[in-house]
Amino acid sequence: MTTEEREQYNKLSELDREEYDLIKKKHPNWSHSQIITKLGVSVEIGKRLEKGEDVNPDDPTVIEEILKGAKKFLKRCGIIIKEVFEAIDEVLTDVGNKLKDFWDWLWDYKVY
Amino acid sequence: MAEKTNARFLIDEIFDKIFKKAKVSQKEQEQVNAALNKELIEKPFRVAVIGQSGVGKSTTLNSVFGLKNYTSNLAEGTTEIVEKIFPMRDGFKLSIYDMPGLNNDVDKDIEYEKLYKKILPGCDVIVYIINAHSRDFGEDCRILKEVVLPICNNNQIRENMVLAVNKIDTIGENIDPNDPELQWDVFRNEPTKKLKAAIKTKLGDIVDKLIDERLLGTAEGFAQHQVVFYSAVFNYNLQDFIRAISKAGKRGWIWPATVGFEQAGRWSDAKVIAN
Repeated sequence: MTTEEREQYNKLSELDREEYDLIKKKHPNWSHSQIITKLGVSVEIGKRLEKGEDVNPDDPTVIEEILKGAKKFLKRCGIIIKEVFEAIDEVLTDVGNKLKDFWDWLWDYKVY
Repeated sequence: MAEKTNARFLIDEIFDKIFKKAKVSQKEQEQVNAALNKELIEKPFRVAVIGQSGVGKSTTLNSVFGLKNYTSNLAEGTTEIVEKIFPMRDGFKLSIYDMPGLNNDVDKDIEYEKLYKKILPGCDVIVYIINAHSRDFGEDCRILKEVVLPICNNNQIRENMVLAVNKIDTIGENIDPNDPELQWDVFRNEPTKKLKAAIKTKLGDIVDKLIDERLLGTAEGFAQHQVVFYSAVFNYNLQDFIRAISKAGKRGWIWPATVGFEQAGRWSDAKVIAN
């Protein structure tokens, strides 16, 4: 484990560290990022199975992607209006804050 | 749910709010709106759907992309794929390439690979569907590793991909088709407790396989958000799919931006207009 990987491991909850160790024992050849991915996906699968999500256009993640995509598109078109971009960034920050609760775990341990 | 407005698309509503915040001139608003409108209306949103027959391509297109009664009519040995364009709402168009899956037939596979190389680079989203019910994912993993991902990596469109694991509702059938506890709870539209446990185990196995094959958890494979698990027949867990589309490549955001305030799957009477 590299120092960075060790830090990431230490940030895991006790329960997640136990799970990490179990995965490592079961798959000794997997890298740290593979184990973390497995852990992350397992957590997400568990969440989804507890409560399957209906389609929701107001989902902050989706709104965030629309805003990011539109901003990049406008830039590519050469339509650069400072006030609009600042307002987009402000909304993105708001959306990001809302997302923090929901995606807390994933944000912290996202590998790629 | 947001209140109904006269906005055509979700993005119109979002930008109305942005303009209010930004306090920009009418002329600048029109400039932004015209550019966004052009991007949404002039180019169809291109989706390639790849999968063996029976994986649920049609049900996925119907439930996720809001097509009604789409039926895959890929003939055996099809080596030419046509673009089917569906008018959605307010001028927005969805373009579908219904692609055959490779199937261990060397001659056909060479032809199909040529098709993939020709069509995939022009697509905004590439959905590769696998059947969660399947006992063996070896062939899908091989196709992804040896054919699809190299094409996507060479054309820098790996981010356009969604690896869609469909039919999670049928996972219990492999264990005991006669056990009602392993069947979908149609009244609550969710897996029963026992089926949930079975799904969790099966998905865990699928994830292990994807990681073992270096298709997930490595720099050259899929990112976590690109792998989605769902049931198209029961419209179950489609939100992850919508999220994955919204993150896809340069134009993935366009799909949810045009949804408006209705739910996906209910928002068009799309009929094919061009072959």
